[in-house]
Amino acid sequence: MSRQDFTVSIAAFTAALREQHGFGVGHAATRDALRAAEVVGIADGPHLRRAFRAVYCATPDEAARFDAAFDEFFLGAQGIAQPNLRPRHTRPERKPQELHNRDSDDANAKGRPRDAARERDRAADESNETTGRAVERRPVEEANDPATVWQTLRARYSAAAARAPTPPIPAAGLDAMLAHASRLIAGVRIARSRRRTPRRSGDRIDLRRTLRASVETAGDPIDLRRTARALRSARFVVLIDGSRSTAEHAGPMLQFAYALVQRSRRANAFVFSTALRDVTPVLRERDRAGRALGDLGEAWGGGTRIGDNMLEFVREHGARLLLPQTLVFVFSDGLDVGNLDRLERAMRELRARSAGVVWLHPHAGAAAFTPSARGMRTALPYVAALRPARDEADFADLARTLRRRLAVAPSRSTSR
Amino acid sequence: MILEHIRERFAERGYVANDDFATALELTLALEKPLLIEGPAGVGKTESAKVLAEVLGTRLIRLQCYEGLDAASALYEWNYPKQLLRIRLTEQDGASTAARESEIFSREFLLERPLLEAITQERAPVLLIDEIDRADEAFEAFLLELLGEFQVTIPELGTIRARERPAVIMTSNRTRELSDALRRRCLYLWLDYPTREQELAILHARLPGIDARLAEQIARFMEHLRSQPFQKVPGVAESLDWALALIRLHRDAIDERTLEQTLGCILKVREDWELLRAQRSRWEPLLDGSQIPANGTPLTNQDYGVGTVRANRA
Repeated sequence: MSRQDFTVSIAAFTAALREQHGFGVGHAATRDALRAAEVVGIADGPHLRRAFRAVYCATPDEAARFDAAFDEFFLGAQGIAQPNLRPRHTRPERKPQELHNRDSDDANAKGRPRDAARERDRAADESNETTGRAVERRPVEEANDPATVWQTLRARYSAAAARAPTPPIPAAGLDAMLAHASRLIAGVRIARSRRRTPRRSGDRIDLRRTLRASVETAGDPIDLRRTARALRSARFVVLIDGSRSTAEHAGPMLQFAYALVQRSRRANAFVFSTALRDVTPVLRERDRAGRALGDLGEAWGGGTRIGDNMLEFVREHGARLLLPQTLVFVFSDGLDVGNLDRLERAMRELRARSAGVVWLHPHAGAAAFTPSARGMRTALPYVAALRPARDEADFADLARTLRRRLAVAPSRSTSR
Repeated sequence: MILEHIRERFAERGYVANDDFATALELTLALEKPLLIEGPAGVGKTESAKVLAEVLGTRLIRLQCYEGLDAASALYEWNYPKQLLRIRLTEQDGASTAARESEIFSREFLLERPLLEAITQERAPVLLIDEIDRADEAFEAFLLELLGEFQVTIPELGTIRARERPAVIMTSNRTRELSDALRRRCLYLWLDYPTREQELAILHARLPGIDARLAEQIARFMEHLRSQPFQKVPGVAESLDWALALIRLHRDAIDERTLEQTLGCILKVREDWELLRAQRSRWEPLLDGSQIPANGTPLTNQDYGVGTVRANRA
């Protein structure tokens, strides 16, 4: 392979990572990869792969998926990506992906002899000089509609194929919901940042600025400049019950979670049914409204194990997300089929480690509503507020009133 | 070639570096890009920078991040008391305001903080930016600027450029998501818990003279512990502590009583203790020494492993 071919190949690899695997990489990464290849040489495959991993990856998730992408690209047909790549929106799903890959391997082995494929690819390569495009020219017979392949696969392999499909995030009324989210984020300021900013009536003297001002007055610090600790907006965690009993009412809640995650980098969202799933990365994507969340596995449409899932949340994500400035929203009807002791333990943990838990109930606004479900009765003592979450108006109300209830009066920060 | 070299030099200092780690270091040095190391607590992220500085025979400059860390504590600050004194002392000189200002805002009155120090060294140091996730977003943005150009502009003095680009290692425990911009500026390494073989190699490297059978038992037990849903999963630091404790107690094998006595070395949350006790049937077989050959598993050439805290190298 000549030097030029190699450069072209790396550029195509960058493009493949970006377009098929969702890596945020560009020309800078290509350049670094080329330099890395110069450093480590290309004779030792695994070594080169490790080097590229360091260059191309930026998150643990990417690091975990990189090796497969590398092998697929460089050990498959030369320089050209294979068909049958899993659709992007199913990214978080692990098991079906393996099935999918296995399936595509089979297809390769049987229906599509490698040599033939390589020849076709090479021909295609020659016809098109620009390499960034190369990956888009993959054969389309199956990639045509990944969703169909997908469903067949699921029907074939998944024991729970009869699960309810995930509802889409409603697109209607999104703008209003985004406005409510912004309002909530701006309104609920639970803690003060430790960062100090210039403030006329601050509680501490800013020596740097005071001295700068004192030069004018022959070094007499007459005009004292001050700093204070800035207010900080809260961190939000949304836990959405996706079990059969609540799933059909979850539309507005999903939309609000999407709006919150879109508007704040400090917001995270999870759905749970019999299992827990972090949907924050999906909700972070732009233009997600109107589309489904993708396959959520056992986190959607099954039974409810609120306590277990909350405990799992506390254990897996608590250290990262549960902080004194975190506001936790739980969306559920409290019909827990699991162990209520666990629910109580989970609620205790959630309350102790966050600023407060706001329980959003799909039916709380109804006239005849009483929180009488066993799960509700268990959780209520630990809940700061129980609010309805049926439609947009409920969330508008939430954004307006939470500010009053939870905002902490600007306490005079004491010097350490 | 370099790869082997790095590994050997690290091994000499009791840090067993695996392939991923050595490759990432090799590239950091060659491409002069910062290296971002993420991973669970206690797998040797911070230690790696210390050892790298030793290997390169250069200074380690460490910036420990915390919330509210700002440029004044990270980059530079003026020595205000000294400036005030100087103003007082030269009050009668009759010099112009401009002249006096330029005097008190000169290098003499500048306090160098770690970041400025790192770019003004004669010889490129190792700059360790520890637990970057603890600093806030504003500091991250500030850091981006520095890492891109390796130059600092001080309004009163002008721009200071790095004479030699320092080798930068950043660590993160992922308490907060770092911005994409920062991540893309760096090479990335995910440092995970070691495998059983790696852990064994680490135990032998850090605690020469440890009983082979005991080491094997510890490695197996830790492998089991890390597969369980504990609140605080023990890292390599914990297994070294534990090994050291067992050696001090003159135990050459772990039995149930010993485990109870030393549980505090490895599990540090009460709920985790309860979980471990509840799962007795799962780990009990691991303590059965008869499964392990008398001399333990013969050590391979210490090829693998991720080192960590320096535990008593005497």
